[in-house]
Amino acid sequence: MFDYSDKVKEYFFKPRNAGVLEDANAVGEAGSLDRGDALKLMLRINPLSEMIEEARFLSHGGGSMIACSSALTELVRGKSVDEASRLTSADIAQFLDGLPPEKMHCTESGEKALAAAIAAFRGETPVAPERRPAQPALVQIAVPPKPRRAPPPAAAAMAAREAGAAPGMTLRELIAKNNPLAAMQEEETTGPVEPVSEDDASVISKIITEMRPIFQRDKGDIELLEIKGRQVFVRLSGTCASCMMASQTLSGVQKKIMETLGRPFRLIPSTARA
Amino acid sequence: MSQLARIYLDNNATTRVVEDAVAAMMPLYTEDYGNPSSAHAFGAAAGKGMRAARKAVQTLIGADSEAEIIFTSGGTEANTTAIRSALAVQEGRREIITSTVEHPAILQLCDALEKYEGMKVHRIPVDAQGRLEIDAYRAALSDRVAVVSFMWANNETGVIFPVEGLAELAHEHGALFHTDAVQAAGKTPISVAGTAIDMLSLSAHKFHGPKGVGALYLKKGVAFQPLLRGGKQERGRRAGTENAPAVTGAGIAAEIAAARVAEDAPRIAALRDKLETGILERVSHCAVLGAPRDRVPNTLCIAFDLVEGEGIVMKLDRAGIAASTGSACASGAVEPSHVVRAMGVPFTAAHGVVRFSLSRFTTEDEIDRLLETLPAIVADLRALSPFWSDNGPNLPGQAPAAQ
Repeated sequence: MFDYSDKVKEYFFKPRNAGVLEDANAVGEAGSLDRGDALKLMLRINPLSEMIEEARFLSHGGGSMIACSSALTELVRGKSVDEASRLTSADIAQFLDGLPPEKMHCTESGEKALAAAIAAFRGETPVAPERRPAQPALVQIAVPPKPRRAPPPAAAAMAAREAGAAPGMTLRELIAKNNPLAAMQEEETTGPVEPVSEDDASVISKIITEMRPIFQRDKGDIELLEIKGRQVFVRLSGTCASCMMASQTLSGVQKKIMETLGRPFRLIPSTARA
Repeated sequence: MSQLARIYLDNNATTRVVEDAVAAMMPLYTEDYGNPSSAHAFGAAAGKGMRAARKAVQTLIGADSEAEIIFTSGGTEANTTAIRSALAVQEGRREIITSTVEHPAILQLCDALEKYEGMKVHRIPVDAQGRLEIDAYRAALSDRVAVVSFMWANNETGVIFPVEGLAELAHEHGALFHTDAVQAAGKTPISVAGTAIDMLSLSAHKFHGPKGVGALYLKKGVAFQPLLRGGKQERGRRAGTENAPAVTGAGIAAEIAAARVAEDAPRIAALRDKLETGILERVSHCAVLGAPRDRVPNTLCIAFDLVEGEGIVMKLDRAGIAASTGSACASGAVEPSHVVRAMGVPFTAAHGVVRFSLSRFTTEDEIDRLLETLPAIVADLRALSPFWSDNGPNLPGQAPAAQ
């Protein structure tokens, strides 16, 4: 069973605003039955003030889905349509003190159903959020490599044989063969820093924002500091800064960035920078 | 939290350890803590408990000789040892036959053997009731097959495979036959003597013994290669200092299970049937998974249309009742389990699978309390679903999965 926060349990066991809203004037649906994240969001919006006066939901899913749906209704009630339209899946997760990573798709249903309801109210055709096709990661190793001291010559020769070095191969070639990430680091320190496009920067920023609740769930936080070439600098705070698990979660963030953009990136926590 | 006593209906996951077993184990930690291989009195006491345990496990599974019992760290080790040994002793044969609904201890092992060691694996499907497709099994058999491994009883549905007959078919092609009997031993009377079963795995914590101990039955005369090499423990068939306290506890549990299984099984089956009938009467749109007459007595696996099993289990837990879902239980994945998928359960119900597994400690009062609690839980969750109306499922263009 998943380790849910008390807030998730509270909103699952006693969901607020469950049921049909008879006089709804904005309805949005998202998710699916077989993913266990189906949501029907019903809003009553004052047509003059554009304030969301009432919000109710019906949802199909496990504990987290029902909690997410209920949380969403609590978040939008009393907000203007403009304010509500800025809510994201991360806000839902944050409201619930975080969710297990496997359950984050529930919050995405919430964001999509809200967008659909608002679009319906405004008489627009909802635009499906643009997603880049998932590309296979170029790099298999997701943990930032530690700088290594050069091994003594004999050991180096043995290691080289073990690593499958062909005679006459330079060290750099060997590294590139077995550890593309380390080769990239080599490149980073020697080669020119290529500027990161604004598009890529916003994708990276979005991924980090989306994964914040996972860190917050463990009473910590992650923040994007800057992107330099293929190095993404982040700051870890709270318990995350010293937690062993953080490096695992960080490698998850890095993997997601690489998979989304289809190029190697390296995530560097600011603690490791000092 | 409820003031009522907690109810445990997740006995296919693990069981309560019988007091007699705990009592027998404790002195082996604090007084007679010797190594069973040692020549002094400390070791002798530990060795005595192990000898009794070997005899008890022999009786529980109806083996010919206590020398056929090898103690292991549990079901997973017994399964791994059996499959790897069968491959090692028949070098010319590089194929394995198993089913799609085995425990991950078999499935993951076969996946790895296929991927890294070049073995060919035949995974035999099951029908909608969880019964093995025998024709597919016959078609997969050949003199290239080293080992056939089918579970005796399924952990999720309780469905029993006719392993005695399946073993004979394997022998017709010269293949060894192994059965994972982790969910059968102690639940239903079993006897391996005189059958074509060459190897059998069991785990003590499924029949009220301690965790971390199990056994591999290896029929006399069957060629064997150990998984763990080193000391001479278990006649050189499983190296490593024996977990004497746990083995002793397993022995006590096996002794009690062997003595009681014939009498307990029908009583537990009657309670399970009461629960099953009661749920089917009180809750609409649900269906029992698994062939009704070919199940171990303690297991009820039931699929509720248009509800998530996780929600049901969370709400039952809040009411003090422990059950498990047919999804997410082992892996943390959100998918329906491989067993539910292998049986082709319609997607509207595949996520609503809940397993109740009873034990000899289960009482009729507990079943009554569950029957009082469950209908409202399902109704509450369905009332939240956009796919449910007062009249039942509300799926445009979709037929409901179960009536």
